[in-house]
Parts: sequence; C-alpha cells; structure tokens
Amino acid sequence: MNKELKYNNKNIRLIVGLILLGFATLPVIFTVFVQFYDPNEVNYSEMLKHPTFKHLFGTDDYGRDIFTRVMKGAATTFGISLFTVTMGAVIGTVIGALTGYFGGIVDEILMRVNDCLASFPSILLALVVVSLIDKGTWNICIALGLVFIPSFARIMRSEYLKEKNRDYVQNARLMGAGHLRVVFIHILPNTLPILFSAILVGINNAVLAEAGLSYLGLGVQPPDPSLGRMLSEAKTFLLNAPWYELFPCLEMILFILGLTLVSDNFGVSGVSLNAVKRKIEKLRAEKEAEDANDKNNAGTINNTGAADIEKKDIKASEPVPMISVRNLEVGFIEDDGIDDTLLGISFDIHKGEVLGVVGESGSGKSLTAMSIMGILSEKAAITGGSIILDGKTDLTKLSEEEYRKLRGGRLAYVFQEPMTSLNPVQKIGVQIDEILDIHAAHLSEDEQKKLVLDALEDTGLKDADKLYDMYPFELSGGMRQRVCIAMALIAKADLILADEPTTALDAGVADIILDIFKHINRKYKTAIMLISHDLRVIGKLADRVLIMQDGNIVETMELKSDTAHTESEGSTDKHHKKGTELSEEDCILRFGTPKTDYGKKLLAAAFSTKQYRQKGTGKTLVKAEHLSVSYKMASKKQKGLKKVIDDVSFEIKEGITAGIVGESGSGKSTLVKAIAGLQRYIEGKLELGCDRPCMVFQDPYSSLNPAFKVRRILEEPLRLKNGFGYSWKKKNRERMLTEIKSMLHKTELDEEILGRKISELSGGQRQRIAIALTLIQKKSLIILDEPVSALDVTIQEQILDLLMKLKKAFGLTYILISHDMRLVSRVCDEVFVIEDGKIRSE
Amino acid sequence: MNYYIKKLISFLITLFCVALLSFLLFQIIPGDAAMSKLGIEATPEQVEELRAQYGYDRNVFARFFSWFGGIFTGDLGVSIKYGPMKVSELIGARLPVTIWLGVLSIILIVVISIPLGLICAKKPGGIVDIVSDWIAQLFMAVPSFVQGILISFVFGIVFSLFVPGKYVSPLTDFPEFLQCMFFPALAVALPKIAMTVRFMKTSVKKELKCDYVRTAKAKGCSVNRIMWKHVLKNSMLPVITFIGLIVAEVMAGSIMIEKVFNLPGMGLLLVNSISNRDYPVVQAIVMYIALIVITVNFLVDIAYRLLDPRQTEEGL
Repeated sequence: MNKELKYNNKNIRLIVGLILLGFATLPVIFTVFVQFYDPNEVNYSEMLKHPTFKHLFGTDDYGRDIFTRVMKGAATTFGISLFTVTMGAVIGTVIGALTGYFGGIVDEILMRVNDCLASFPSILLALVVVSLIDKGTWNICIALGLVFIPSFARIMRSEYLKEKNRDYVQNARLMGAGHLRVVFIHILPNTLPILFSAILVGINNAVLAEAGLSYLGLGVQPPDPSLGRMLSEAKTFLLNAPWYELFPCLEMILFILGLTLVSDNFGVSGVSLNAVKRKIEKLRAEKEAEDANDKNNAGTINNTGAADIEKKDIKASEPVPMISVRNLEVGFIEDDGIDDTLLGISFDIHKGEVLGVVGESGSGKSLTAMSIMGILSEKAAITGGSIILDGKTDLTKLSEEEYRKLRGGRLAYVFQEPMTSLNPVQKIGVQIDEILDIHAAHLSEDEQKKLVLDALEDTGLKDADKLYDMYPFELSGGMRQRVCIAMALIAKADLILADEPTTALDAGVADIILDIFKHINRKYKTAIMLISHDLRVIGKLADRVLIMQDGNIVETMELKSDTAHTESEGSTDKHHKKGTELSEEDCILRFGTPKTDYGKKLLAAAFSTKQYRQKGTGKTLVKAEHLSVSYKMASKKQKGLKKVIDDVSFEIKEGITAGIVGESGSGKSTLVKAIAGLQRYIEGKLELGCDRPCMVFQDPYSSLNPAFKVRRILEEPLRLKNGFGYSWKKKNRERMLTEIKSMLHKTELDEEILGRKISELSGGQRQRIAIALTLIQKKSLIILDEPVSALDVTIQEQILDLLMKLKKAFGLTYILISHDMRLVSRVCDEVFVIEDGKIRSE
Repeated sequence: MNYYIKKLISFLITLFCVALLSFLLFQIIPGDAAMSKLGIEATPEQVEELRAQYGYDRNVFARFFSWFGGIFTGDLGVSIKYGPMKVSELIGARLPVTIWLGVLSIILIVVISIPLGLICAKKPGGIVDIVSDWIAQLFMAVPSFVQGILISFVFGIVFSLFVPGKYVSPLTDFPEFLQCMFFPALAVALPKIAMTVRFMKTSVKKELKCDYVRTAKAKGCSVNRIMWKHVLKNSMLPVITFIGLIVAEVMAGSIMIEKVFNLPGMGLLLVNSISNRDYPVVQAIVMYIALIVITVNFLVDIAYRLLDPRQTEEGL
C-alpha cells in the first residue's frame, strides 16, 4: 500500500506542471536557434491560412507564420517577465529586508509610500509610467520592474519582521555576527521559500501585465511579436481565423498553468485523504473478517487477546465498565503509508473514577482520548479494535450522527490550550449555550441561560453574568480553562477527558484547576480521564494510572488513597486547600513501587532529588549596581520606554549556578538579555568579569537556524572567529570539522547528525546541539533560559546531567532561568527571585 | 471612537499622499501639456500664452494646491484634446459607468466565491473542489482582456444576448442595465473570482485546523454547524481584507474590459487620453481610481473592526 500512496496529489501536480512548462518553453528555446520563417516576413499570398504541415499554427493576416511568431513572441514575453521580476525581487528584497530588520523612521516612511503605491492598481501604475517614458520593449521592462518592487518589499518586510524576533537571530548576534551578516546569511535562507513562490507568482503576473499593456498599444511595438500583441491583433479574426487567437493563448495558458502547478508544490502537502480513508476502511474490513474467523475457532483454541479479557471481566464480576477499550489501534496517515501509533491497547474506565494516563510525548495519550471522543484529526484513523460504551455500543462503529449526540452530552473533552480552544469571535455565554442548543433544545432560552450561569459558577468563576457577554480574549488562561470545564459540566457529562488541562497554566492556577476537577468528580460522580506528562499532576488526583510508552500501556497502577480522598462531600473551598496541601512526599507515597523498569525510570525522573549544588571560587563574574532595564513599547498607542527591571543590585560569583526565578512576565528574560548585551535601554552599572556570555534557549528548535544543517550551525562561531581562515578553503573547513567533532563527543552526540537539519532531530538532540554550540564559542559564562522545560522528563534528567558534567570539566558558570522552583532548588547554588521588577536573593 | 478618528486621520493622510504622488508623477514629463498641444512648430510666444492660460507658469506648489483643491470642488483644469471641455465634465459623465461596473463585479465575486470556497474547503479532494480548482487555474492563466474578448464574442455576437458598448444607468432602467452590464462585469470578475475562491479555501482550511473547531466538534456540533456558526465568521475576516485588496484589481480589470466592450467609462477615457497625451485627464483619472481604492479600503478596515471583537487600539 505504501507504493500506492507515494504517488499523491502533490507529486502529480509537480509532474504535470513540469510537463506543461516543458511544452511551453522547449519550442521557444528551439526557435531561438532554428527558424524556418522570418517572424516579420509579410507574404500576402499566404494570408490567414489554417494550420497545415507547412504552417503548423497557420498564418496571420499578413501571411506571416504564426508558429514562428508565437515562439518569438513567447521569448519576448517571457524575457520581459523574467527581467522585471528579477529587478523587482532583488531591489524589493533588499529594501524589505533592511526596513523590516532595522525598523525605525526610514521604515515608517517607506511603508507609507508603499501604502500609497498599493492604492494604484499595478497595471495603472505601469500604464502611467509607460505613457510618461514612452513605449517600447525596454520601457515596459523598466515600468513593470518598478511596479513589482513595492510588492516584493512588502512581502520580504513582513517575513523579516517575523524572523527577526526568533531566537536563532539573537543567538547569531550573541556569537558576534554583525547586522548585515544576520540579515543576509542567517535570515535570508529562511525566507527563501516565500521569496521563491512570490517570484513564481510574480512571473505569472508579469506575463499577464505585458499582455495587457500590449493590448492597450503601449507594449512591444509592431511588427515585433509578443504574446500580448498577437492576442490583441487576432481579436478581429475570431470568426474567420480562430487559430490566430488560439495558439498564442494556448502558449500562455501552458506556461502560466505549468508555473502555478510547480509553485503550488512549495505549498502545503496535498495528500489525498479520501484515497487513504478508503484504504483504511478496506483494512478494517479485512481485519474484522479475520477476527470473526478467529472467534469461530475460539471454541477450541483460546488464545486471542479479546477472549482473554472477556474471561477476566467475568471473573472480576465487577459492574460493566462505562468505557472499555479493547485492542485499540490508531495510525497516522503519512505521505507514504500508515504509521501505526497506538499498538493495540486495552483498558477500562469505571463510573466515577479518576483514571490518570501518563507518558512522554508521542506515547499516544492524547490519541487514546481523542479516539474515545471520536475527534481524531483527518490524518489519523482507528485501524483496529473496539471502544465499548456501557458494555453495549461499539463507538468505533457508530454513525457520525449518533456519535455527535454523545459528544458534549455524555462525553466531554477539556483541551490543553485554553488560549486557542475557544472561538475567538463568539461570546463566552453563546459558546457554552451552544451545547444546550444541541443536546437540550427543548429548554427555553431563560432556562438555558440559568444553566450556563450555574455551570460557570460551579467552576468557581465570579461575576458569571458579566462573563456571559465577554469574549475569550478578555479572559486569562486560567479563566478560559474554567470556561472549558463549564462546558463539560453543563451537559452533566458522565466522562470528562481532560487532556493536559494544566500544562499551559502557571503553577498556582494549575492547582486550582485540578481542585475543580476533584470537586466535580466528588459532587457529580463524573468519571475523569486525566492525561498528563507530569506525574505530580496525576498523583494529586488519580485513583488509577496507566503508564504509556510508544503506543503501548506498559503498566497499570492502583494509587493508594490519600487523606483528602476519604472526605467524600465537601465544599469547594475545602478542596482547594486539600489539593495544594498534598505534598510531594505524599504524592510519591501514593504511587508506591512500579513493577516495570519504565515505570520506575519515569517515577525516578519525575521525583528526582539529585542535587547538583557546588561552591563558587569567590571571584565575582557579574556585578550589577542599581541596574534598571527598559524596553521600547512596540505598540503604536503606547510609545516610549517601559521599565521592566527597576533599580536592582546583585553579584554572581565564578563557578556557581545562579538561578533566576519568577512568574511569566516578571522580567527575568529581560534581565538576562541585559547581561547578554541584547538590551539597549540600560541604566546603572553592569560589569562582566568575562566575555559576553552565550545562551541556551528554551526552545532549541527556534534558537538554531532551521535553514542550516547541523554542521553549518556549529561552524558559524568558528567562521566568525577568523582563527580558522576562509571557509571556502577545504583545508580550513576540515580543521573546523575536527573541532566540531570533538565538541559533539563531549555532548554525547553522534557524528552522523552533522548532515541533518534541526527539524529532523529529536528535542533532546537539538538541546545537545545548542549546548555544543555554546562550548565551541569557548565562553566561561553561559545563560540557560528554561533549558529543559520543553523536554520529556527522562530527557530532562539526561540534559541536566550533561550540563553539570560539562560545568565541572570546563569550569563554567551558569545563569539558569526557570519558573520551576523544584528544578532551581536542586541545581542552583544561589537563587534570585524577580517580582515586579525587583530582585530578592534566597 | 478613538480608533475610528485615528483611522480617518490616516485615511486623509493617505489621500493627500496619493494626490501628491499622482501630481508629481506628471511633473517628470519633458515639456508640458501646452507644448504637446501646439506641436513643435509653435512659436515661443504662442507657448507662453497657452501656458499662462493653463496656469503652467506658476510654481509647482501653487499648482499642486490649486489642483488638490480642485479634487473637492470639481475643477481639475481643461482637457487638452477636447478643447474647452473641463476635465471634471469629461470624468463626471464616465465615472458612474466605471463605478457600477465595479460594484456589479464585486457583488459577483462575493456571491460566487465565498460559498464556493466554503464548499471546496468542507470536502477537500471532492469533485467540486477539484473541478473548481482546475477551472480557477485556467481563468488565472488567461489575460483578462482575452476572457473579455471571448465573452463579448460568444454572448454578444454569436448569441446576441447583449449589445457590446451599450450602457444604461441602473436608475433609469434596472433590467436593461443588468442586461448590458452583466457580461462586462462577469469578464472583470472571473479572474478575481478564481483568486478569491482559492484564498477563501485556504482561509477556511486554516481555520478548520484551529483548536476551537476541535472544541466545537467535542461539543457535538455537526459539520454544517461548525462550518456556518464557527468557521464562517472567523475565516471571513481575512477574506474581507482580501476583498479590499481586490478592489484595486477590479479597477485595473475595468480599464481593460471597458476597452474590450467599448464601454464609455473612465478606463476607456484613460486609455484614449494616454494615446492623446491629454495629461490633465490622465492625471485626474489616476487620482480618482486611487481615491476609490483607498476609500473602499478605509471602509473595509472599519467593517473589519466592527466584525472582529479582538481588534484593540493597537490594531491601527
């Protein structure tokens, strides 16, 4: 089946596009070298002859050979387009790149001019320019070229505006790359896909514009042919010589269509989902037939998984589980086939229980929940197994209409991203009310509104009345997540699937949300399937835990009941206290000892208490006295400087790990950027006892240049250093390579990744490369900005180990920024807490 | 209210800049209109006399401001070609044709491309999607005047459904207006419909990938409900801006199409005036077309603001 899928829509378009382009351009190139007729030779004896072998495309009203004229005309037209677009692209890119990157007053003025120019339709502008500087081929070239500059400048400016704030740009600046190097060597490669497709679209437009100008008599002058001239000359002969119009038109269509198809290829992949879906249906049917066969034989041989579980269920003689998942298999549709992700998992969810699901990213947790809810993305599909509701209904076989009635009714889902999960242009009340519109349409509007307000209040939100008429953007993340929970409450769902409901929230808010879940579970006996990568979240709430790894359930653990659990009915307030009170030790105790190795490893990593503290040597490396840092307000409404760090003083000694903690938005990033020399608006004294530091960013995917291969990324600091000579000399590059390889070994990476791009690596590998990059720069002070928080738990521990090993080996000093107090207390020798721009040492 | 005032100010500034630009563009011509009218044989005295008559002897700034004032009072000077006729009279007679052609085209674009885009995005890879995609590609690959020529040939000459070149005001006889303007408007709209359908499709597809659509699905919304209640409004926001940008293209298209159908609009006048080197007329038309474009875009910005609750003061 892989082969079949490989010839997807995208490739077909590319191939067809290239064939069309070939048809359009090859004869043109051929005609440049070999001409059977003079394109401008008048021959009145051959006027308006229809196509024959002698004149392939017939002749025109002067008896000229249309084939030769079409090819000659196409050469002129395409030539003009190429010239104008190249002119527009080169000048436009330089203007757009510089204004976008540097901003400032020049940018403002140029953009105003650009806005004004955009108000003139492009053909009008070209018309005016041509009418002013006179007709003729070269003049259209210049007129159209000028017209194209603003559009390229606009596109490139917005690309540069977007790119210049990415971490990799800051990283390059930190390495010591100059502004022009950053603009043209680091950023430009990342804008090439956009530029390229803009060029292709531009060529199309230029061809059409040339035709238009020629039609109006302002383009190429007779008797020389161009496609536009021919199209307009032929219009009088539509009735008696239609071929005269047809062939130039065909040539143009072939060219533009071909170009469009090829340029589409640089867009989004267009896997034919329908074809894949049919394939999956066929697969499922085959599998079911097999299963049925097995069942028939099961009378004698009892070895299928399903039969085993059936037996177990009877033995347990428990009430029928609300949901029982059996051998569930889910796969992702890839360009070249189906990538199986869930490999036949089986578990039950009972009424009123809290089932935790834990595992690292890619283990299939969310996929499991989405399969139960029936909201898998179009690219994923259930390829086997069953999900039985109440021991009766198989959800995988339900019609869309029946399933729809369950969703939002008996089954509810709370997503990870409260910021994007709500419709941005609908009022909160309307969005919650919609569930009642769908599932309880018999209620009057007033009754519905009352229920909505009740649900909002049930989640601890105050002023429900006011909230009803607010839009999501007016709410904080925590409030939005409560709105999402209210949606789950309103229909009195039997099962809430909570998919990382607290991951995107600040720690304090997350605890409150967990308590709301606990409260709902107690009060309404609602079953909750709580998915999290964080064992501490699970430990606070769950009765039972499934540990998942690579699409399998590796272990199911019963959690010991905690003290808060024994209290069955209590007010919300009480629970709020209980949840946050449950200490880490209690959490660990609840888990007990996992049976499998993976479970043990996961638990150990999550609750690791390994200490890395170290004493400093005493020499002061960073010294700040009365330091204030401001940043320029980007919005047009509030101009001027905003003070983020206000009059702080501190010292960091050599050889230690200094922690800087604070909530998001407290100014910790601003402070370290000041230390790194990336902030412009600084008051007070800031002294460094070493070179400018380098940085390891939170998200290695954005801090390493995505357009470069690993080798090129690691070479950059060496190229900037000059100690290695010109990089185009083979000898010098080899010297760089040895240096790079030695650093790769120190960061425990394989040499083979040198040829790959960042997008082809795992999160852990990327962060190791980011660390290797700092080592190559041979700096003694390194800033670590949330270096592990984007990584899986077990990977986090490996990276921490590595960082500390390197610190010892190279005598480094770290400044660690984190919102995670646990991490900071394990790693840091000195901790600074930032609150409202002030700093306090702990 | 603050936002609207700011928008208005920015609109007026753009207006001024556009006027300045249209004016300055025509200052780069070697010689001036007086010389081009009298030809090279004219004596210097004759030229001087005509220059004084047209006001070309004043300095650039004085001329700009009197011209700029003329935009509002309707006094934009005298046409060179059509003798004593004022530029404003010439344009005034032709402006309604162009505006009605533009309005009809935009209605066609909106009415056809938005539902079509929605249908295509709902079933990607479906028959409607694939067929409309290929047709759109074809329309985008043929110059608009060729489409106009074909439409006028097929519907005007072969089927005689309308008379090319005839114009009736919608205020005097609406059915008659539709009859003579439908096909020219279609010719203007077709290439833009193709573009808008593609844009709408991409916009809807992007919205469909958003988290709130997943939430809606989890609430039990049917596919149609998700489309009409959730996705439509969200995906319309970028499309509204896009249609604002299309207005400039529609104006450009009408220049061509008026020539093809021989409609007595501004576009035809522009093309003729360019060949006649009647610069006062060209200058005024360029100005008016740009004025229409920035006015529509100003209105689009206001509409956007009213539709999207998220727009804050910073959205300027």
